[in-house]
Amino acid sequence: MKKIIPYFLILISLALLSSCDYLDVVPDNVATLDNAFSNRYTAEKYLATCYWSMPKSGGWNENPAMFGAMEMIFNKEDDGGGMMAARGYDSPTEAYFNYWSATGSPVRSLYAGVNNCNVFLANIDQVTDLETYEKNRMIAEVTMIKAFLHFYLLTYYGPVCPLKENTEINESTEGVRVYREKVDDTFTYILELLNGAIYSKALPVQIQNRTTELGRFTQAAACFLRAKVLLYWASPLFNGNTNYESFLDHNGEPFFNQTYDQDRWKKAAEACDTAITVCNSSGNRLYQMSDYVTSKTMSQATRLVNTLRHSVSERWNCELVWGSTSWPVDEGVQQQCIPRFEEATQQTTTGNMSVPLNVVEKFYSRNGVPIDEDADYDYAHRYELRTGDESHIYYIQKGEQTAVVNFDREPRFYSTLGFDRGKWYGNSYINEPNDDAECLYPKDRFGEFSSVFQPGDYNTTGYFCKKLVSVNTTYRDRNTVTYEKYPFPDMRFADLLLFYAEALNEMKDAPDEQVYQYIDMVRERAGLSGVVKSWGNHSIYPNKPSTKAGMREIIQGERAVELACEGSYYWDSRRWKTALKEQNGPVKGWDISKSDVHDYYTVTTVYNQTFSFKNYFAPIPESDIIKNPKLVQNPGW
Amino acid sequence: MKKNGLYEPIIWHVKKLFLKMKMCLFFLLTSVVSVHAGVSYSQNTKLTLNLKNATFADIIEEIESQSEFIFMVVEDALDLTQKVSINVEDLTIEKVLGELLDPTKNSFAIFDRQVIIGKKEGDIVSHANKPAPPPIKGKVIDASGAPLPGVTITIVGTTRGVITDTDGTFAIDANPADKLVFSFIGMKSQIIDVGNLTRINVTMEDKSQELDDVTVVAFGKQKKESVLASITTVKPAELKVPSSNLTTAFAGRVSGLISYQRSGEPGEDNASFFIRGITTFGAQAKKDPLILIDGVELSTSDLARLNTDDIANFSIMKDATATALYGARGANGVIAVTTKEGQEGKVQVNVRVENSFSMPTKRVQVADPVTFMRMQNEAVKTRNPLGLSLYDQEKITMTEKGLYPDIFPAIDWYKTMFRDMVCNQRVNLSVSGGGKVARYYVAANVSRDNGDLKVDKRNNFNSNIDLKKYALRSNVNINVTKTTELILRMSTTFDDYTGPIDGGSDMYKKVMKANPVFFKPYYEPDEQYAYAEHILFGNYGNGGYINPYAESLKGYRDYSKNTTISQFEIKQDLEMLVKGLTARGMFNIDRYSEYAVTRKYDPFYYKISSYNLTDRTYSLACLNPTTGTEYIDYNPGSRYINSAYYLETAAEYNRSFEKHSVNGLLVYTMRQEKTGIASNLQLSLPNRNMGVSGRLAYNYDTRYFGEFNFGYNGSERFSKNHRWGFFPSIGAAWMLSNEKFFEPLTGIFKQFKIKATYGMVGNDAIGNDNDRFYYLSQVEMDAERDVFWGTNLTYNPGGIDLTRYANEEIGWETAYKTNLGLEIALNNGLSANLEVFHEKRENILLSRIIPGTMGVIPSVKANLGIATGKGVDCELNYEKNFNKDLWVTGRATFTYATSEVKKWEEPDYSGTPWLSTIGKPLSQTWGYIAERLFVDDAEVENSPTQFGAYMAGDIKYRDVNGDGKISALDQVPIGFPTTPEIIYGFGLSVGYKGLDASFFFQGSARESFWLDINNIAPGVDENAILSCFADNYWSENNRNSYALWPRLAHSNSINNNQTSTWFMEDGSFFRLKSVEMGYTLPKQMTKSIYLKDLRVYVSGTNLFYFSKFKLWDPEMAGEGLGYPVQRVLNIGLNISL
Repeated sequence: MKKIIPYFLILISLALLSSCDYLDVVPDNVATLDNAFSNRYTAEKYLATCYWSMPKSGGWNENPAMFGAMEMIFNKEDDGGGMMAARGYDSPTEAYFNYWSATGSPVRSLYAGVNNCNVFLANIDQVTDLETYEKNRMIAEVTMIKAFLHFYLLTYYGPVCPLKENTEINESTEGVRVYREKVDDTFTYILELLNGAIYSKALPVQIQNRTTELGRFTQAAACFLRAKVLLYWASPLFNGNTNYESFLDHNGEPFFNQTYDQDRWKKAAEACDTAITVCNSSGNRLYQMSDYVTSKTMSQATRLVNTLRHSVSERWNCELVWGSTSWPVDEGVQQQCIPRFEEATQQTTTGNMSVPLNVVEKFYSRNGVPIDEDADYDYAHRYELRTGDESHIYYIQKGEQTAVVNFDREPRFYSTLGFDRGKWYGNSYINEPNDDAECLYPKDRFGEFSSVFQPGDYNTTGYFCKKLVSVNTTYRDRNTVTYEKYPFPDMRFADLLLFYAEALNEMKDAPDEQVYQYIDMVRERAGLSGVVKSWGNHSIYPNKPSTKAGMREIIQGERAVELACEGSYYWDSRRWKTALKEQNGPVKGWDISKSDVHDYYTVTTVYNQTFSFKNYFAPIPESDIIKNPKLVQNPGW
Repeated sequence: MKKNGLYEPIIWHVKKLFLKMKMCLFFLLTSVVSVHAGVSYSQNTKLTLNLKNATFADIIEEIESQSEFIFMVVEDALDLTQKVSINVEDLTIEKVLGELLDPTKNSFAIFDRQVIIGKKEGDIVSHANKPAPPPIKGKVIDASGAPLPGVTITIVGTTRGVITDTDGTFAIDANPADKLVFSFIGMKSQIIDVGNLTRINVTMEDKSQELDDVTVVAFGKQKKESVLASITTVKPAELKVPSSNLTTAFAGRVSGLISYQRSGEPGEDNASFFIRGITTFGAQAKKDPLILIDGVELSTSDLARLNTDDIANFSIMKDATATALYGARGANGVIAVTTKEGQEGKVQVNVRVENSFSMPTKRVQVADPVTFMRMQNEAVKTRNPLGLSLYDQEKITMTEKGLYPDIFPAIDWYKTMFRDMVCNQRVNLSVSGGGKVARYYVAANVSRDNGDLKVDKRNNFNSNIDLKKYALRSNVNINVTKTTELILRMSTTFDDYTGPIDGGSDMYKKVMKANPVFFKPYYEPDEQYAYAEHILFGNYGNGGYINPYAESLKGYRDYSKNTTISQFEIKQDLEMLVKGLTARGMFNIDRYSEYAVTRKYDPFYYKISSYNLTDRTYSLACLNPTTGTEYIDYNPGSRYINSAYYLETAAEYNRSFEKHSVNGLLVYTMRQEKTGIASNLQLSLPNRNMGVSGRLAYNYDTRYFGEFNFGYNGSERFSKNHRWGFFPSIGAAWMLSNEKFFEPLTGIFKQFKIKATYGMVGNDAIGNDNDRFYYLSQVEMDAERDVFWGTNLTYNPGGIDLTRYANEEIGWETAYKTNLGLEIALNNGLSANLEVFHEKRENILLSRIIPGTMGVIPSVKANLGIATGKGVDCELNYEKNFNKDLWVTGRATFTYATSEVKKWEEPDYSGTPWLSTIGKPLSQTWGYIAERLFVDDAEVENSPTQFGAYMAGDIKYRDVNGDGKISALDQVPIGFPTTPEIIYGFGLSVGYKGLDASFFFQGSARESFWLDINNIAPGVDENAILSCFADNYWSENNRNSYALWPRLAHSNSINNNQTSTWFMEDGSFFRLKSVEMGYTLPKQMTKSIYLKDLRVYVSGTNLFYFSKFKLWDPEMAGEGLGYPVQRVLNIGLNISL
C-alpha cells in the first residue's frame, strides 16, 4: 500500500500542473462591448443599429397606422397582424404590434432601441479617431432617436416608463420593476432631448455626403419632430383629456393632465414656424410641377398627377424632410399596390392593397371642396354608372363605364387612387405612350385581368393605392417587375405646413390669412384654389373657412386627402379624438366578386369597423404586466 | 490449464482410462503416428522452432505459444530440464515431436489439440492394469449442448487427470474429498466437489461469458456481487432488432431508461432516451445521458450505429455511485458499451444476413377530394358569407362524377407519392479468435435502408431515400509481456445517403399540404410543349402551390458522414511492485466529418389554359417560364468536421486479505473536442474537460460492502472561480444471503442483497452551446441591420448586436442522487432488481424574468433553478433450462420517473397560483380548459371575451380567474408531461431443441401531446382534411357542441389555435414491439455442410398497438404528419463457421 502512494501523488500533481491553463481556452481579444467603440467604423455601425431600432413605417404588419384606421385594407383572407389589429382583434394577450417588449424583428421592443441609444451615448467618448464635430453630430442623432422612440411609445401606449438610463443587468427583481409615468413628464423629457439635439447645432443643415449619409437626421428633421411633438402635446388626446380622469398612477394622480392648456398651441405654432424656416434653409419645400422632369410630352393633367406622385415616392425629393431607410418602400408594399395592366400567366403583383369607398369619398371634387358640400356635384347619384368622356380622357378610359363617384374629382384623387377603367400612366413597359390619353388602365371586374388571380389575392374594394407606387417602378414584361425603392415619407414638408395651419387656427380666436396661407400652399400645388375661394364659390357652406370650428374641419379634411395612405390619419384621428365618431361603421367597396358592370358597381360592406374608447391606446402586453405587477393596464383593456 | 502450462506442463499420471479411450490411446501410442478422425488441427498446424540449448519445458512453452496445443507429460516420463536443440521449419506436430523425442525414446499421442507424452510404449497400459476404486463418470457439454471432447479434468492438488472422449464422456478415479477442475481452451474452468457424486455432468461456458460475473462500472469492472451502484446490464442479444438503428431497441428493454421514437425515416430515426427521466430544464441543456463506447464519450448517432453482434456489454449507470466519477458529464446518467474482444481459441466466424420489409405502422386517413372542396368552400362561407368560394359547383360536380380528369383532377397524393412497402438489407460479418500472444475481433457490417418514395423513371437520378451504412471494427489485444497487455481498437463508420432535398419527413408533410383538385402531378405534353425537355409539372394560380411530386423529383440531397475512432490502451500489471496493483493508460482520437450537397432544378409548372371537351385535348400554359430551369443546380450543404481526443490514465489496486477485499482506483482524464467549421469564434474554441476521479471500495466477507467515489472536474465553460467542481458519493450494501442466519432460506434464495447510495454528480453542458462562456459578453460585430443610407439606398454600414451580457457567477449544475435497491435471485431461475431513486438538481441555469421596459433583448441567465426527480425502476428476469432441449427466459422491466420544479424565478403569480411552474413536472404544458364549442352567437356575446374573431362553433374556454376575459392568466397545467413518465416492457423466449420463439411487448404511459392545428386545420391553406374531422365537425347544419373539430375557418382561427385541452391527446400506448421465431439446424446437418451453426429466423417489430389515439401511431406524438414509424417484417440467417 505504501508503495503506491508516490504514484498517486505524481498522478495528482501532474493533473493539477497541467490544469492551470488547459481549461483556459478563450484567447484574448474576443469581441466585447469595448470593440464596438474602438474606431469610427464600429461607431458608425452602432449608430446604424440605433437608426435600425426605429419602427418601420413602410410595412403593414409593422406600422399600425397603415391599416389601423382602415384607410387601406386587405381582403378578409389576410390574417396578418396589421389587418387583425385593424379589425379589432388586438388584445393584451395577442398584441399585434408589440413595440413594448417583442424581441423579434422588425417589430421589436422600442425600449430595446432606447437601450441601444443609451449604450451608444455612454460609450461614444471611447472612440478616439472621430473629430469632435462628428462625435457631437452622432450624439445629437442618437439623442433624437431616443426622443423619437419615446414619442412613438407615448403616442401608441399613452403613459410609458421612460428609460433615461440603462438598468444594470444584475439589478434585483424589485429594482427592474418600474412604474409608468405621467404623460406630461414624458413629453417634457422628449422635448428636453430634442432641444438638446437642436441647440447643440451638431446636426447638419444639409447632408453633404449624399452617397453614404442620406437618411441620417438633419437639423430640419429635428425641428420637424419637435414641432410634431409639441402639436401632439397640444392636441385634445393629450391636452386636458378628462376621459382619463380616473386613470391614475401609483401616487393616485391622473396620468393625463386634466386642464386644457391653450398655450401649448402657441408653442407648437412657434416650433412649426422655426421648423419651416430651417427646412427652407436646407432646401426642403413643396415639390412643384416644375420639379418634375420627363422626356415624354404629356397633358397638364397627367403631369400634375405624376408631380403629386413624385412628391411622395421620388427618392430624396425636395419635399422629404426625413424618411426611414431601414424599411424602405420596395417590392413588399408596391407589389400589393399595383394592379395588373394586361393578361399575365404569373401573378407578379397582387393589388391587395385596397382603399375603401369611405376614404375615396373624402377626396374633394374638382372644385376643391368635399363632394357632399359641392353644390355642383351630383352627390346623390354618385354610385350610378357614367361613361368616360372627352373631359376625363386623361383620368378615365373613354367609352368605358365606371361609377359617377370617379368623375369630376380633384387631381389628388387620380394621383392617389387607381380603379376599374381609371387611367394609370406609367409603371409598365407599354404604359408611357406618346399620347397619354392612350395609357393603360386596370380592368377589375371579376374574371378580368386585374381581378382575382388566385384565391386569396385580390383587391377587395376596387380601389388600388397608386400613391405608394413609385413612377419608376416598372413591369419589364407581363411577368416581371422591377421595383424602385424609396424611403417611406415619415416627415414630409406638406405635413409640416398643415401642422402649422392647424396650430395657428387653434391658437387664434378666428382664422386669418396666416392660417389660410399655409393650407393654400398645399392646395395650390395640388391644382386647387385657396380655401376661401373654393368654399365661397362652390360649397353649400361658403362661410366655413371663416370660423375656427369650420376651419378645423377643413384642415382635418385637407390632411386626410393630402396625407392619405401615408398612415397620418391613424394618428390624427386619435389625437383629435375623432376616431370614436368616425371609425364605427361599415367599411365599403364595390362588389368585386361580380363580373357584370352593374353588379360590380354595387356598394358592398367589407368590414364593420369598430372603435371604442380603449382603442385610443394600445394594450400593454399582458405578459409584461405579469412580469412587472407595477404596470397598470390601459383603461378598457 | 494453458496458462499453467507456461511454466510447468501438467505432469500427467495416467492411472486408468475408460476402455474406449484406453484402446484408442494404446493404438495411438503403439503406432506412434497419430491418426484421428477429428485431428485435422494437428495436421494443418505447421510449427517453426529454432532453439538452442533449451530445456524441454522451454520448447513445450514455445510450441504452446505458437499454437493451440496443450502438453501433458506422464509423471516422470521426461526430464523437463534436460537441454536440447531443435531447428525445424513448417513441420507438423508429429514430425516435430518425432524429431524431439526420438533420442529420449519417449512416446507421444496427439488428441486434437492435446499432446500427451509418455515414457515408452505400453506405459499407459501398465497403468491401466492397476486396481482402482470405481471411477466417477460423467459427460461434458458446451453451452449449445454439444459434447465436448478434449476437456482436461484434473484433481485439485494432485497431478492426476484425464481428458474427455469424442462424445464428451470421461471417467476418473477420485475420492469424495477431492475437487475436480474442468478446463478447456477458450472456456471457463470449473471446480466441482466430488462428494458423494458418482456421475458429474458439466456444461462448459465460453470465457466471454465470464463477463456475466463482472459488471462494467465507471473506469473498470467489479464482481457483480460487490456492485452496490445502480447499474442495469442488458444482454446484447436482448437489443437485437431488425433495424440498423440500435436506439430503437431501448424502449421497455432497459430498466431505468425512458425512451421513445418519433420518426421512422431512415437516418433520422434515432429514438430519444433519458436515464430516469429529465431533471434539468434549461431549454438547450444537455438532457440525454453520457454515452461511452469503450470508455470514450461519443454521440447518440455513434451509439445508434453500433451493431449488437459487436457488443460485449451494454449497461446503463443511474445513481451517484455509478456516475460520480464522471463528474462533469454524469448527472444525466451514463450508457456504457464495450465492444467484443477476441477470445483465445480457434477462429470463429459469424455471418448474419437479414432482409426486412418495412411499412408504416399506420397511415393517416384523408378525406376524398370532393369532401375537401366542399369543406374548403364551407370554411370560407361559414365565416364570411360574402367571401369568394374557392371551388364552383361545376368543378365539384364534375370531380364527383370523375369526368374530364385532366381539368377536374382528383389526386390521391399519398398513393401518388409513396410505396406500400420497402425492402432493407443488412449483412454482418465478424471474425474472432486468437492465441496466447494476441487476440482479435474483426467485424464488418453493411446495411441499406430505403425510403418509400416513388421515383419517376424519367429522371435519371433517384430522389428516394437510400441510406447505406458501412462499419468496420477491429479490436486487437496483444500480450507484450506476461504482465503487459496492449489493446488497439479501431472502428470506422460511413454513411452514404441520397434522398429528397428536405428529407423524407418533409415529403410527408408536403403531401399533407398539397391541394388534391387544382392540378395533376404532371401533364402529358400538349402540341406546344411536345418537345419540352422537362417534366411538365402541374400547378395552379401563380405556381406557388405545393406539388409534392415536383418537390420529390426536382432534386436530391446527398450526404456522407464518417466517424473514425482509434484507441490505444496499455495495461500493466504491477504485481512485482505491489501485489494487486495495476495501471493502465488509454488514448483515443476520434474524427467526425460530414458533408452534404443538394442538386436540383427549379421545376416548370403548367396549368391547362384551354380544354377541348370533344376530343379531350388541352393546351398548357407555363406558369413560371422565367424561374423554371431545365438544368440542375448545385448547392453545398452542411459541413462538419469534429475532432476529439481523450486521455485516461488509471491505477487500480485490488486485493483480498482473507475476508477483507479492497479495491482502490484513481483516474486522471483529459478530453478535448474541437469543431472545424464553427459559426462563430466562441464556438470554434475547444471544449475541454479534465479531472481526477477515485474509488475506494471495501467488502468484508462478501457480506458488508462500502464504497466511496469522487470526481473532481474542471470545465472550460466557467469563470476561474467556478471552474472546478467536486462530486463525492458514498454507498453501502448488505448481502443477507451470505449471512449465517439466512441459511434456512438458501433453499429459495440464491442471492438477497440490499443497497443504498447517495452522492453528487455534475453537469457542465448547461444552456446553449453557443453561449458556453457565460462569463464573457458576446458581441456580434457584423450584425445584419437593414439600414440603407445614401442616394441609391445602398450604403449599409452594418450593425452591432450585443447578444450576451457577461455573468461571472455561472457555474456547475449539480445533482444530488439517492438510490435504494434490492437484488434478489431465486434458485428457480427468477431474479429481480428493484430500485427507488430520488434526485435533487440544483443550480439549474434559467432565464431571468426581465420586464420589457429594461430594453434587454438577450435573455439573462442565472443558476437559479432547483428541480427534483424521483421514481422506481425494476426488472424481473427468468432463466431456466428445463432439460437439454427446453429452455425459457423471460424479462420484464418497469420504469417510472417523474419530476418536479422546486425553484424558478418567475413573475408574481400570487393572484393566479395555477400559473406557477413550482411543484409541476418539468415538461408540463399550460393551456386553457376547453369546455365545449359555443352553441350560438348569443352565447358568444354573453361569455367572457376570448381571442381574435370567434363565433358559434368555436371553442369556449373556461375563465379560470373569473375576470370576464380569457387571457394568459387563465392557463392552467393540463395533461401529463410531454415525455412519458412510465415505460414498461415484458417478453418471453422459449427454445425447444432447434426451435426458438420470443415476443416482447412494450408500452408507455402518462404522456400527453397536442395536435398542431396549423398543420391539420381543415379548410386552412391546402391542408389535407383528415377523415376523422370530415366525419365530425361543427357546421351550421350539425351544431354539435362536442364535435371533434370546431367551426371551419379558411385561415387559422386564433381562438381555436390556443393550447388547450381540446386538442390534447393521450400519448400512452401498448404495443407488440417484437416477435421472433428461429430454427437452428441440428449439429449433424450443419457439420455435414462444414458449418458450426446455422440459424434461420423470422422476426417482426411494431406489429400492432393499442391506444386511445387513432389518427396516427401514438409514439410519434405531435410529429404524426412526418415520416411514420415503421412496422418491419424480417427474415434472417445466422451462420457460424
